[in-house]
Amino acid sequence: MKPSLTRRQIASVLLIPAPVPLAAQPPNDLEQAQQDVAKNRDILAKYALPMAVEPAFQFKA
Amino acid sequence: MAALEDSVFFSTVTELNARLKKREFSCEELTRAFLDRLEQFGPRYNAVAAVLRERALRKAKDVDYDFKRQRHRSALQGVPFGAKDLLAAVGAPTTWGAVPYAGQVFDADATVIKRLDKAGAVLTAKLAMVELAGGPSYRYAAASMTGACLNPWDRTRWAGGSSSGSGSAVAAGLVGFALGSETSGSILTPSAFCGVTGLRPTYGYVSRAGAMALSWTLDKIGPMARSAEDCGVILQVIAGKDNDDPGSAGKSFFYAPQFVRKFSDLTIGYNLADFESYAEPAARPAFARTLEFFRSLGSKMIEVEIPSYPYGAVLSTILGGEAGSVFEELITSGKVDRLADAKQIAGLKASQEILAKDYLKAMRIRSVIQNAFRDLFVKVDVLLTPARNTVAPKAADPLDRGGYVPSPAPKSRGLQGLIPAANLAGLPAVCFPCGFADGLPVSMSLVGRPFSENTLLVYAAEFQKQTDWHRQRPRL
Repeated sequence: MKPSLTRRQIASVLLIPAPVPLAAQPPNDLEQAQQDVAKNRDILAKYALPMAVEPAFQFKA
Repeated sequence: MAALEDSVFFSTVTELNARLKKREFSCEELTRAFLDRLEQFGPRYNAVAAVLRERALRKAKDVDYDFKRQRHRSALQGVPFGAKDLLAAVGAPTTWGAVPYAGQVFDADATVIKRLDKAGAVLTAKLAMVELAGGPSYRYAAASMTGACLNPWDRTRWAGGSSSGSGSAVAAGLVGFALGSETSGSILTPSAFCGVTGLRPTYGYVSRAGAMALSWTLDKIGPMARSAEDCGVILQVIAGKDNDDPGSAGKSFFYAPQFVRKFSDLTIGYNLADFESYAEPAARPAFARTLEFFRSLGSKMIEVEIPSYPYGAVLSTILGGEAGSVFEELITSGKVDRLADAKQIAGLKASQEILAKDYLKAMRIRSVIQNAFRDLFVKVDVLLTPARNTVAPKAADPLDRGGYVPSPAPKSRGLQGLIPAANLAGLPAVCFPCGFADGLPVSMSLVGRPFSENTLLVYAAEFQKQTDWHRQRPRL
């Protein structure tokens, strides 16, 4: 029986890379960076400071 | 003139200056030799952004004219140096390591370059850097328009960042010394990974006029060189008041080791967990020997722990908030997408979401952190800790994969997190090589109270008087 696929077509199917396991896929960088900003916000929010503590604007070491 | 012997390229600045004064070779001969070396070896390490041959030779001829007439300007006179490519210099583009700024040209030198020029030092090259000095963050060593900067001790390893080319070029003997900059770790890390001596000055000591801003309240410029003494000599030239830098502390620095208190009158703070648990096992023998050396000096040694604050969150919020403002146009125009590193791009975009209240909260916690370090430095004069816990990572590996994780987890915080903490507090630090692990340099750091550079440098110089780790050089 004559094959319905050419050798080139078979090769192209066989050479499709296997799907990358989920854990190894690069993260969605923007989403991750946004989550980091939110995480930092949560960490900072836990620090209660007296009103008298001013920002380090006049920063002279 | 016969070719200069290899040892010349690994001489300290004071040695080079002394040989120039003795007319063993002219400044032009020395400069030509360093320029040839930059062109020959620079590409091998991706360490160079631009070689300034024309400018350097013009300056070298001026210096020779000065030497001929016995006009001695400084200990740096005639010494070829390189500057991180975030410092403006006439004669070459200033790219900040980033494709969107590839064609950027300034018509005036940065203040530090002007000061070095006046002192007779010869600018030979702009040195490679991580794009935008690392921005909020980056994932790969290749986050630079010049590619991953490679470590002269092992070309499969990274040179460290973001002053990558400065570390690599000094280690490979391509420049007599270099200028780097640090927002959080960018002088200490490449110095440690490349085995050179680096100094992060107190915030405000060295003018940043003409330098790329990443974070106005965190950025510092400092020397990367072959010895602690070199760093002192260089800092003396580059420090000082500058009306063009709003953050200038208005103070001059004089390298005066003779006026530092005796070692027996000083107290060193350290934490054993840093040496025995957090450091990767291969590096521990070198760190242990260094700790023993400092014990032998007769200083009082006390164990301390870093004050407990969320340094990472505070630093990221301040750096992100300020970088988001500095690079607002880059981000909103979409040109940010031309950067090399996806994590850097994402971090800059996300920085636009940092709220005013978050930034102010971080800056308020920073005030508390500064006070906590003031209190700590009542008990100790300096803090001693490994500069990095590990050797340089592989250049191809993701940098956010995490480093060595001690197991079991140490009970003490040690002085872990001192790089972001000390940067938030504006404290000076010196980093110096103290041995090797798996054939790669490992380094120690000393951190002190503001404007205590002389004390830090004297300790490091004493170590370098009695050891020769800083004299080791890679086989190119």
